[in-house]
Amino acid sequence: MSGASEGRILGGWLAPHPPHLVYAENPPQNEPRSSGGWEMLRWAYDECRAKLKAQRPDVIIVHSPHWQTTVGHDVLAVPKLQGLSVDPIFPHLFRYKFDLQVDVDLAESISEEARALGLTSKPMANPAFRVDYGTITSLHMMNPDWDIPMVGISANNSPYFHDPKTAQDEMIKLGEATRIAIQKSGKRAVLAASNSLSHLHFSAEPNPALPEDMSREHVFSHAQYEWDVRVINLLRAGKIFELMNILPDFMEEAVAEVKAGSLMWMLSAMEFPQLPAKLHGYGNVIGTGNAVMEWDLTEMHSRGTGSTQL
Amino acid sequence: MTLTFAALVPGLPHLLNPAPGSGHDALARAMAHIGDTLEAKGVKRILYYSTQWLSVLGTMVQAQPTISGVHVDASWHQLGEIPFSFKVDSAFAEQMSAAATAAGFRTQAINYEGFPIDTGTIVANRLINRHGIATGMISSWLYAGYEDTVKFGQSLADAIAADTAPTAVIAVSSLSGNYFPTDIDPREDHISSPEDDEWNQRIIALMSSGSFGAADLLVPTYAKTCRAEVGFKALAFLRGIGAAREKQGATCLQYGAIHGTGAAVIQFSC
Ligand SMILES: [Fe+2]
Repeated sequence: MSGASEGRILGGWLAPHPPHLVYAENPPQNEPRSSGGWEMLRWAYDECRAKLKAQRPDVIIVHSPHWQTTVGHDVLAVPKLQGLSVDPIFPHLFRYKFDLQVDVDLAESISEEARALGLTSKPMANPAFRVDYGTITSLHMMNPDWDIPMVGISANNSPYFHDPKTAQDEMIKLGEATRIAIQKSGKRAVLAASNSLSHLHFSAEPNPALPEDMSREHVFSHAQYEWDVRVINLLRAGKIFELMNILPDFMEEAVAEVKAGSLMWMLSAMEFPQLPAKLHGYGNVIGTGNAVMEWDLTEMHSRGTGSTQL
Repeated sequence: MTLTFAALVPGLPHLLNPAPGSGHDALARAMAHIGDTLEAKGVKRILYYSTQWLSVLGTMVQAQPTISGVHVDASWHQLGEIPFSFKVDSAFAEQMSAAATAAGFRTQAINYEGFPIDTGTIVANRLINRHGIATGMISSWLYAGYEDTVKFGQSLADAIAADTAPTAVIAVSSLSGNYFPTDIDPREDHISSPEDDEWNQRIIALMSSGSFGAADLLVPTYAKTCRAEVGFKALAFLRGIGAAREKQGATCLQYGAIHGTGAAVIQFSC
């Protein structure tokens, strides 16, 4: 806690969650063993780890596409969540014993602020809940010591149910609710949008005998690569409005995982910062495009760069 | 032929502790009735095909011999903890996997402690299988279309026919998938639109009269109009495996709504 002063967002990370990254690292929590792989993305996450060690935020707030909720934008609100999370798609790579500390006060406050803005949201208060692999992978890659409390927000099905405008409006409101709750909490928060970029993937592992065979890893198609580069370049240039304009096409043509709303939520919480995002690394995982990117709002404040309300 | 029984059932957790005054209780009772019927028919193995178990890299077949635990649904976590316990016929899982693979479908038998069992399979098993009959679980491969799913079902029909254990096939799926995007009073639950209701009843009527060929033709429009769960591939699976045969009319035991989606308990003539 940083005392009675207004809380703030220190920064945000595009923090993709292919379980392969955890598998490649061989942490004690994950049962399967590997000989490494996907280093470009894992080295990128090293930068995030070092930054968080230096910043010591009070909380990391993650929005994950793999906690899907039909009704509401729900928020994990149990002080301690423990268990075994097995990835239903890649169970041979990800069987992770998780042990999370949740900032329940902040979680409940985000949910309350979301309701105040007209969204449906409820705290997830069931201690037997099994946390999804997206939340766990992003948090593990950012902070493998798990010594910073977290808040997990679900991906409501709205982008797949409503028209894109309604869905986007919901994510913008959810970002606002998150920001207001952080400000009221007095805490220093880091945000994580647990998203890949282009999301077309191979329909089978290229080398099932050696999933980490990097000689077989590559982007799904050149068109997907071009989309990823276009989006990354806009983010690197801080051109948020241009990004917003092309996001619907990106979602459609590259089946981009940002459709689940995590990136929009984070940009909204950060008030759509006109700030060049820093690319720490890009890599492909079973054909998908993934970037580890950072928005350091402490730099923005010291440089006086603006943010924008949409 | 040892396919002894087949049904289509809903698989949402509202059915386990039906809210007083809601229509969920009647659906749950119909599923319990199905359990009684299949037991009376001497069923020794229940195979679940749930469209809530989505696989990406081909089809998965559950092969862990015993599975138990406590499940909390990702969406409906406020409905509480659901204890579950399965005895899986792992040898038959391997046979199904081999049969589907031989037919050209990438299929793997999986055996991992802690693998997430989908809510649909858990709910169906709780209501239908009250005396520990052996089970099997088959995933719904995301990239298989309706026709592919029919063929996939056919590949398993041979494995079932070649085996002596009387077997029930239970497809777990909603009908129309348009839900209410906000919380509702379960006592006021109803199909989310008259159009969805009409479509559901039309599809049920076709199944009841054994007009499955006609139903097949309507499924693409039905799925698009009403967001029938996962393209209503549950019917494709039942068609392929030989449960939903032309002119063999099915019996709808109960039809209702769960949070606006369509739910029906339908028994097929095997
Ligand atoms: Fe993902």
